[in-house]
Amino acid sequence: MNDIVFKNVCKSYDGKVNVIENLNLTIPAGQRLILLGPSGCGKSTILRMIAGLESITSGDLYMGGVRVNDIEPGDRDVAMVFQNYALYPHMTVNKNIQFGMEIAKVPKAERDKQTDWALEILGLSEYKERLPRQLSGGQRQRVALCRALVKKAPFFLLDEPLSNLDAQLRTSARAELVKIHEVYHPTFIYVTHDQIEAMTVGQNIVILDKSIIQQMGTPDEIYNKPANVFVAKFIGSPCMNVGDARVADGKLWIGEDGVEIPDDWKVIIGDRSRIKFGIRPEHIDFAEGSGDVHAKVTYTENHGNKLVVAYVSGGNEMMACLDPFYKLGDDMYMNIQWDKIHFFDADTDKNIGYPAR
Amino acid sequence: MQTKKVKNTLKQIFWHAVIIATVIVFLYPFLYMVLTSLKPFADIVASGANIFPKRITFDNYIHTADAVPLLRVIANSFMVATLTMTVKMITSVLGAYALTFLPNKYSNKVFYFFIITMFVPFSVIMLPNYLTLAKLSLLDTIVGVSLPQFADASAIFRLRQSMRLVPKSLIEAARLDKVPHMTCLTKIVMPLIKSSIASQCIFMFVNCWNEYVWPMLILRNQEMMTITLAMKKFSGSEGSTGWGTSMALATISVALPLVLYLIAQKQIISSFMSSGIKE
Repeated sequence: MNDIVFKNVCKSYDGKVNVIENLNLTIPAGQRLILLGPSGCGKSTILRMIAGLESITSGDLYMGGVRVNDIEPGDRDVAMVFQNYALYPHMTVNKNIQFGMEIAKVPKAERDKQTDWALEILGLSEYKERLPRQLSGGQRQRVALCRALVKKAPFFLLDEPLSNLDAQLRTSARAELVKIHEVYHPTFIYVTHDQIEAMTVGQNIVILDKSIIQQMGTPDEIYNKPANVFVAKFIGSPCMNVGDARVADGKLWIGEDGVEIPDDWKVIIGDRSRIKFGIRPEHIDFAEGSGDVHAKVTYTENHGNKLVVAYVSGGNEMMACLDPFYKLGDDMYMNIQWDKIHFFDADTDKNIGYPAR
Repeated sequence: MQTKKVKNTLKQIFWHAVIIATVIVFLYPFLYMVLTSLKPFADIVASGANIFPKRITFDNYIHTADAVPLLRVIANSFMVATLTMTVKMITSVLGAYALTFLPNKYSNKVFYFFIITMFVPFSVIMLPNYLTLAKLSLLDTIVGVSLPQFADASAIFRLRQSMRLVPKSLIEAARLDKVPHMTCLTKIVMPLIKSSIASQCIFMFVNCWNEYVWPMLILRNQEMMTITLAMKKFSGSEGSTGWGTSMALATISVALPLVLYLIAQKQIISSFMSSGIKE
């Protein structure tokens, strides 16, 4: 089985500060796993440790059941696509793809066959004899994918491979990445800071912040059941509204407005008097004249497909995504939709859970 | 608008004048050498300020060929310079590669140690080197002239600077493909820094070709004489009567490195152009 297991892994560059602190993570074989997080959260370091390009300060890393701490990158059987593609500028596309196989002493006929196969998959056959500088960014990125693909390695690592592409190319490249994974189902580890890439490419997502895993789950779980405030705010655009509220007399108080809490939620909330609530902008339900919580609209932006409304409710700055034709009145209220709300502990920021439904 | 144009023109004229003056200053000794080598002896002593020959003669060149074994001295110089350049380049490329791509906790210390050697003047190490070579029985040999120059901190330093510009990810991609270091050096790093290597080669070759003091110490036998030592033969201490021949030999000695430079220049320029689009 080609799974990857981190056991209490720490990484320090200077011997004093750990950039990765006690990492425990199991990446199941054959999965597309995304390491997602803001810059400097340690996601690239984790990827580079798997590749063997960074040493492990303490702890153990197992790949396919073998402890690889002291195994050289070349012996780990990984294919990697770098952020800047790392194509050899003086070699043609063909040569770039074949170089690794040449070193591995693959016979010429087999090399040619593999190269043609990979170029065919990514639609680059006609660029075979070009130099990287004669290709566009998207083409270079695909050459880098071809180079990794021909290795047919059980571990396929990608370090922000789409970050240098424009928005349109990214969309098609995302589909290509999934296609490549479908070719032979390697264990696919993909580092990105782009949540759209994570949600669309990943079967599982690991969200990291400050070198600590915040949540691991399917895109659906991450989006609908964020483990804490960080995850809630990191995923979604605009991000989830998280505000402060009080609990008293069986009511949720947002500013001066109190809303009766349903019984199933009361059990979950328990005896907390302060709490953080979270509502996604697309789940905001507005009403004019009367409603649960008063909303003072500060500005609106029409994005064409949606109307983004910024407003203040009980001192919390919030965003709502509404139908583009929605007519806002002077006196607006926000209605709480109890099946769309999330609650987080006021002190620990952790999700307190959901009623069974 | 008009005044701006005039101002621009004046500025251009000024800078052109500066450039032309600089060119003349640099070119004059070279022209003097070539033209003097083409003058008959009487003209050299008589002509004074006029550097252009009234009559062109190749007598000086013919005389040079008679007075020294020309092919022999050129061959000697060529062998010394080529041997030095080749070995020095090999050691420098290997050293720079190790310092750049195989870092360990001592790399910087080693590098600084190399750098320090650049500040030791030649005159300080001249004698120890001489004695060492004498003990090795390498006096009066081409290897003797080259040996102390087989490693050079400044070349390591300059090549290391070039290698640092090679994107690290290229080397990492090679490591993932299990590319041996020697292959990585020759197939990836060297092609990417070939402009730097070419210019370093010329630098090393010309430096060695022009060397005078060290070969003079090591080489005694007339048979082993390099071209710089041969030149000395005509500019004697008692007033230098052999100016024409000396200049002819000097012209010959400049010609070879110049031709090499012109050949390599194309290479340098073309690799400069491709290095601009390094990823």
